[in-house]
Amino acid sequence: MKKLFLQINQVTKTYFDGRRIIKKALQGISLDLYQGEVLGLLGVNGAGKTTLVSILATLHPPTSGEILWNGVSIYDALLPFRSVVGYCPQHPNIEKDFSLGESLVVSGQCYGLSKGQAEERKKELAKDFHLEPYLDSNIDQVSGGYKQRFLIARALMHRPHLVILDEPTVGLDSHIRRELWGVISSLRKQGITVILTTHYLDEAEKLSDRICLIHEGMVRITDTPENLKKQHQKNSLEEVFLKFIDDPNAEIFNGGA
Amino acid sequence: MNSWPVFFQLIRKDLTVFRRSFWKKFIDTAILFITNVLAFGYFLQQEGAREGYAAFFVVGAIASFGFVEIVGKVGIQLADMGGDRTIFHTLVMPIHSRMVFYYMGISWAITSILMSMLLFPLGKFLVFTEWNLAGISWWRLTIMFVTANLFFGYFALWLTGILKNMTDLNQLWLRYIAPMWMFGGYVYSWQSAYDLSPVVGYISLINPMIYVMEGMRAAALGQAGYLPFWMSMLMLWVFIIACSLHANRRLRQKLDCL
Repeated sequence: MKKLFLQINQVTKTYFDGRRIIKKALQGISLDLYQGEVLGLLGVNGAGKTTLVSILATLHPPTSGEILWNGVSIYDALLPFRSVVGYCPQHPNIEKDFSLGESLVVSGQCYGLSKGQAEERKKELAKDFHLEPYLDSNIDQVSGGYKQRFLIARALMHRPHLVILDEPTVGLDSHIRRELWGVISSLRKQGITVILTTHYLDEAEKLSDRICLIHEGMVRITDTPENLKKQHQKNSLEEVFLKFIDDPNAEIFNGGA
Repeated sequence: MNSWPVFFQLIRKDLTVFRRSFWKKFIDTAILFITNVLAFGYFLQQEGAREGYAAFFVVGAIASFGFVEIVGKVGIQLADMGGDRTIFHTLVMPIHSRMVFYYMGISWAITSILMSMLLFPLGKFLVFTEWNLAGISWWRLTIMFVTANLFFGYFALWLTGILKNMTDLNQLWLRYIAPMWMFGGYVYSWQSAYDLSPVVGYISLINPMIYVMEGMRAAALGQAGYLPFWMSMLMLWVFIIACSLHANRRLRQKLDCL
């Protein structure tokens, strides 16, 4: 039986301009996340995927709701929780004052690794992500694909238990995408829980144990890719997704989480 | 588990960056300092400034270096918040966000201290005979120097919190830095302002820079003619606490962080 890792209960996020509501980005998200699974978070642009993962990464607070980690609110155990989360954001927020290698070491040290441990871990990850020739380069000197590899490597420096990947393969060529798929699969094999947001449905279908489809800040579907295809009598997840987009209010999609 | 290990790592990281660009920055700083000291300390005496004015000016120039540097620090931070947002990587580390903001203020203060410390021997060299080192209260000078730079660090943090974006940076020099600097006793003492008009003197007391200048000069040149040293110290701590608390609130709102 899978061990429950994270319980997301009725999480909402509303953006205000003063007292005026600008947007209700999340409207009562409830979701369970199990240890060692890869959860694919899907949705159209503006559905609330990035808002949800940034809340799970504890970057932004929710407006209401609770998130439990091993039964305890993550806000009551903020620092221990942060120390087991690795977050790869959508946009490369990488310091320009350091080389990629130095950035990895500094990040590892901030997560409690000694200098020696951080250097060792840097070498391991540089090998896994083919970053070795670029360790002395500045972020401005490498291509988008290597920036993305670096971001994932940085998120893994401290051997997190939960890895949040926010559109990690966007803009990458298919060769590099497939390499990153291998990395995500190996994380699953190591028992690491992964949340993956993506617009590539083939990627979500191939990598995810479960799919969570978010629409207008609400969870509309949560199931395995196989069950979804069977239930909707489609050959691919992409077809299921397109069917949903065509008519999100159809009866068949009202099962919720 | 607490925030301190990450806090110290972040300071260490900033010091590494600072070390790498130290000489380049020092040359820029020295040029600004020497230009100001020569113009105000020597040429102004030809225009009738009182004897000993060069030493008076040098101490003020050393004190205010960190203040002038604020524009660059705030600019870099605002550019980051509006662009790459590297601060978001720091904000998901095992450290409370308030400690991230406190680290920023302290880190800026430390780099400012390290840079302006070197201006003391340079200043002494420039006004050699006019500045009698025997009159310096070294321990008072040390604590006032540290306090002044802490104020600059947290004032920069506060400005980062209240300015919306890089466009607002254009206003920073004209609306905040230049008036505070020029009316903060950079080229005159508080007593001179008071002698000109008591109203001007009392209004000056709302400017924290006046306490930086007066406190530094009281420690480096002797208490006579300046605001009481401990009053300057106390007022600067009031401003440091106010800036840090308000900056913390504004930055948490601005970055929407925990």
